[in-house]
Amino acid sequence: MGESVSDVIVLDHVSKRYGDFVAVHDANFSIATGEFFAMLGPSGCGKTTTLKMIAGFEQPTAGRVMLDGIDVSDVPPYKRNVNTVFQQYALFPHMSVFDNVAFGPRSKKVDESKIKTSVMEMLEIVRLNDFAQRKPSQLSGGQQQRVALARALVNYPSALLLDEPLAALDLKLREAMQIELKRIQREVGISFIFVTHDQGEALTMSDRIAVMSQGHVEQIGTPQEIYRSPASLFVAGFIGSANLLPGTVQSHDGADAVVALKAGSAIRVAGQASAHAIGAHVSVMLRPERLRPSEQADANGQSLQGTLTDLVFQGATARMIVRLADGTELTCLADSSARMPQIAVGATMNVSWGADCGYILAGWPEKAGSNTTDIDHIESTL
Amino acid sequence: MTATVVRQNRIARNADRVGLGAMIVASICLVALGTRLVSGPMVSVIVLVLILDLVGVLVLAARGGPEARRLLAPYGLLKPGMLWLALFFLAPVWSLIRISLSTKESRFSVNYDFNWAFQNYTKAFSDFGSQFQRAFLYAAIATVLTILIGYPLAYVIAFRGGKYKNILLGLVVIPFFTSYLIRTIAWSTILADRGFVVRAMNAVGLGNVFEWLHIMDNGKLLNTPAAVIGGLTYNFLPFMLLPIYVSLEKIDINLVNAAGDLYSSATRAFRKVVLPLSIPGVFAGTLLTFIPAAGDFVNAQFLGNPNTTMIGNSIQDQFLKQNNYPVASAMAAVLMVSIATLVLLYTRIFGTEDLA
Repeated sequence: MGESVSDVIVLDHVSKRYGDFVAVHDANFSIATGEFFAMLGPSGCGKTTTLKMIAGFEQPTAGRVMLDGIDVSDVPPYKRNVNTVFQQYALFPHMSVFDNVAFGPRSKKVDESKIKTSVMEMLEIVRLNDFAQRKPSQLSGGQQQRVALARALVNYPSALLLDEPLAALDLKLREAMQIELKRIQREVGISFIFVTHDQGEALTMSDRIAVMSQGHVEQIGTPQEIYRSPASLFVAGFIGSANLLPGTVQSHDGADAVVALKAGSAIRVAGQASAHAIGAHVSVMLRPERLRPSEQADANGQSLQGTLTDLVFQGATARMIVRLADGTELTCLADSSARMPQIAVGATMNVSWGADCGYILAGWPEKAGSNTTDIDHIESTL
Repeated sequence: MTATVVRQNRIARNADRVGLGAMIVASICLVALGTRLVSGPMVSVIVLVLILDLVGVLVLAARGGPEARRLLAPYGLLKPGMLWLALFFLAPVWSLIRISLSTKESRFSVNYDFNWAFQNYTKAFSDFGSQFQRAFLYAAIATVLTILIGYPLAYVIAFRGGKYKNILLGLVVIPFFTSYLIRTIAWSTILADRGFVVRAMNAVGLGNVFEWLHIMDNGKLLNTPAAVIGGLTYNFLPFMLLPIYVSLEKIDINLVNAAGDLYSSATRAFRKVVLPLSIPGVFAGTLLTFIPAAGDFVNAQFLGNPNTTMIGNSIQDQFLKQNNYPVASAMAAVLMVSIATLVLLYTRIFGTEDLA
């Protein structure tokens, strides 16, 4: 692992077990100063436990947590220079907004006159300076969220930890707060590490994302990397939606791989021959927006034929569900402003794609065809 | 508009006033009957007024339409409680004050003449001043002790009880399924001069220490002020513990975590977050403990001696043994007013808007 001087937090082979249950297995990554870093995964994947280990509310059972280059694994939360924004904000209900924000500096016995300036400054940044004397119960959810941010940021921590910071807000407010969070983060230049189960949120805000599943870090990368070249079938299905088509590598053609799909045809995937040996069981990932609906089959064989079972107009896009002969369902997201072929539900149609659109992943998926993260489902299991 | 609608609107316009008026009239009737202010044929008149009042409102509600019923409903719901208070609180208080300003017709009479006899109050203060002082002192000490014992106990149950929370709370409450008297008398056995507590204390040499602390008196634990205060503390502990527990239990553990996250040590987190948020519980517990403890006579009776009598004992004595109702009433009135004043002061100083 490349530890650089600018890394504010380093997780050095950190694990956490509760009895036989492994909550976090060998997390090994670092977070740079000023980075907006997301830990993303379904509930129970270990992301919150990892956050708590950074905050100091939990101790790792193996490995080290380094903060600003110093091992803090055994340092209690109140002696760590990180602050947390709690999921339900945990604002002190008996204190005014001002006193809430001033709580940290007062704990550190900062001069009261300096506290006043820095608190008002921070309230200015979160745009709540007119609310300093209100009680938290007199504020809306979004305002409470910003008080929680100000209360943490006023201490200028090395890193700010956010535990599902937007989960308690409704959709509109959540979208507004995503932009607001990003603005505040740029303004203060402090690393934000936030935990979320919402892939949309992670993609929108983060510089880098760690995708976690069952205690393992599956992949770390920029949103683009993770979306375009997921490291595993899990990541492919969890981030955005993906059509996963199982098959076998049939041959290599220069840099391209030719994959014989279980669905029948053999297709070409550009530039991935070296990573997958001939005969390997693989899946070809096709993002729905890269698929083109057409009446005719593609001349180069980069297409599949099926029946249109559902067509949903969504404004800018139209979602088409296409069932192949073997029952596999593909999702195709077509630009609704482009000239779309006139296909009725129930009619036979083709979906095609360029050779550079596919991406090969090792292994066969549990469910062939369309895999979508159902946010509602995840939320209901929280 | 039909005649019915006109009538209903007329009733609805006045329903608010009529509802309130009828409630007040009914309460006055009950107080008059309860205090026996009226006699002879007037009693029948008052009863008639009361019946007309109650039935009248029902008739009005029946004929008044939905709007009138909506306006009358709150008074209808208030009425049972209001009338109950009129008959069983206002009327007795009225009688109490009246008797406290009366004199007996003769030494053995049970009849009293109301004649603004303020000497009853003078007598209450001059003869029973020390009992008043003792009652408030003992009650205050017992209240402080219940806080000192109850708060840590409630804290541990609320924050460290885990799955045993309910069992622990049950253990606190279970002794109180037994009668108050029996429990107090049981303490007189426990603290008895030849009981195991006194013997154990002396055996380990704690007797002298307790003697020095004025907890024991000439080798006795029973029939001392300490025993009375101890009894009060024991008997009122749950009334302190439960409100404190409720207010502590409501505190989100994340608030404590947040304080820790914001560089507070455990002590500071307790002082700045947990304690202020649990003050409403302490406040409620104090009222529930101090008020009954100040008027208590059971503990002083069974655990005290003639020099530890509290005002409750004296009032009971004057009422039931000396048969001196006027002075007993004056004492009861003074006790009531003093407690009300102390509680008002206390509320002013420590009061919280959200008394929960």
